[in-house]
Amino acid sequence: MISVHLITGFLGSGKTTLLQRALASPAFANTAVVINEFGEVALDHLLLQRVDSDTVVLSTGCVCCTLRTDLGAALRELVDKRERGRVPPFDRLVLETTGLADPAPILFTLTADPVLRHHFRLGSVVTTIDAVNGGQHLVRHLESVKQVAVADRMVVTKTDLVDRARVDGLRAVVRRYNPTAPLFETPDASLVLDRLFTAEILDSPPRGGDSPSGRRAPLPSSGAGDGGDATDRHTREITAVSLIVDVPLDWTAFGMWLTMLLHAHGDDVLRVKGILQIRGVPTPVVIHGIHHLVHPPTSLPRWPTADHRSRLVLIVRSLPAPIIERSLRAFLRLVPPERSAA
Amino acid sequence: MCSLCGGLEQEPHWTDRLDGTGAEADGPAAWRQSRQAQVALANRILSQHGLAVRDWDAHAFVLSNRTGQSEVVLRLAAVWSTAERLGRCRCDPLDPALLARLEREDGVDEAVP
Repeated sequence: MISVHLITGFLGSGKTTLLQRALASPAFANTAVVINEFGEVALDHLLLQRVDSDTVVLSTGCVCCTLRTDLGAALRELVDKRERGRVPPFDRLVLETTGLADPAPILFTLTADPVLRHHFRLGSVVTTIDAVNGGQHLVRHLESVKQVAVADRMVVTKTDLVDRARVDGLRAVVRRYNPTAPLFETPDASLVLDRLFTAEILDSPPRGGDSPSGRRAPLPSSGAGDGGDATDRHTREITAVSLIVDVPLDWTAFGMWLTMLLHAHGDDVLRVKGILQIRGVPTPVVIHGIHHLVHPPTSLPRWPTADHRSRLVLIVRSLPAPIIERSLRAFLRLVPPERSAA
Repeated sequence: MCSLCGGLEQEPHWTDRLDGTGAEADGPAAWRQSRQAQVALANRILSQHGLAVRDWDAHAFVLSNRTGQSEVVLRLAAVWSTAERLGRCRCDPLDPALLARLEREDGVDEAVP
C-alpha cells in the first residue's frame, strides 16, 4: 500500500517550501507528488521540476469539493503509469492541497474508490502554520482551526521572522486545538522529514489523565492575533477530548458507539484518533477518522509504551466532553465482561 | 448482487473486521457468533427507540418498528439513518435521556433481540 500524505495549511503558510525541502532529500527519491492548480500553484509546479514526471496537476478548483473526482482520476492515472513502468515505482505520495482544502473528502476518495483503496492508504496529515500570520488566521478563519485540528504533524514556519515569545504563544494556542500531534518548527523540520511523512500516524499515544478531559481552546487575543468583530465564534468551541479506558474494549460496542456518534455529530467531530486495546486482539489497534469518515483500523506490532490502556482523542466542536465520556462508558457497559472469553 | 442467492454485495466497512490483527482468522463459526453478538447489542440500543433488528441469512439485517414496518440494511453501522426514519426518532448517543435509560439497565449475560 502506498501512503498518501497531505500537506495542508493556510495560503502562504509555507506548504510548498516544506515540500521542496522534502523532495530535495534523498530519502524522498521514491515520492510522487500531486498538487492542485489554484492561484500560485502553477508557479509551484514549475518549482517542483525534480518530480515533474510524477506530478499530475489537477485542472480546476479546490480539492475539497469539485476536484474529488479529478483527484481520484489523477491517482488512478499514477497507479496505471506506475504499473506500466512509465514512472518510477514510487512508494510514497504527497498531496499538496490548496490553502482552503478540507482533508475529509480526500480521505473519502481514498477509502471509497474501488481501485484506489487497494493501492493507497492515508498517511499523515501535515499542517503548516505561519508564525507571522498563523495566530491571526486561527482567530479569523475556522478553516485554519480545522487544519490544525485534523493534523497528525504540525510545522510552525517562518519562525525566524518573529520573536521567540510570539512563536511560543502560537505554539500554546495550536497545542490547545490539537494536543497530540507532534509540533515542529522550520528550519528544524527539515531534519525530521521522515517523521513528518510517515505512515505511522501515532508515534506517541495520545496523552491524558486517568479520567476523560476536555480542553477548550481560548482565542489568541494579543497583537496581530486580535480578530475583534471578525472573530469566528465557532472557533471558540473547538475542544480536544481525551478518553482513557482501563479495560479492553468490545469492538462491536465501540463500533456501534462511534458510528452512532459520527452519524449524529460527524460534522462536529473534526478528528478521531486513538490506540485501542480490543478484546481478543493481542496487538494495539490504531483508529483514525475525519468527520464522518473512519479509516480502516490497523494494528501495531507492539504497544509503544508500557501503558496498554485504550486512549482515544476526539477533537470536537461544541460537544461536551463529560457527555461523550458518559456515552462511551454506557455503550461499553452493555456488553458483559465475561463475553471477552468468547 | 449475487446471482445465485440474491444477496447484496457490499463494500467493506471499518467496523467489519480488524485487518491484520488476526481477529478475522477465527473461521466462519466465530464470524457468525460475532454477528449474533452484533445483533444482540444493536437491539439493546435500538429497543430504546422501539425498534428491533434481526440477521437476514448472514447477508444483511432487517430493521423493524412496532407496527411491523421493515427495511433491509446492509450493515449495522449504517443502521442509524434507517432507524431514525422507521422509529421517527433521533439516534444520538449523547442524548441524556437515552444515556439515562441505558445506564438503568443492568449488564446482562445474554442480550435479548
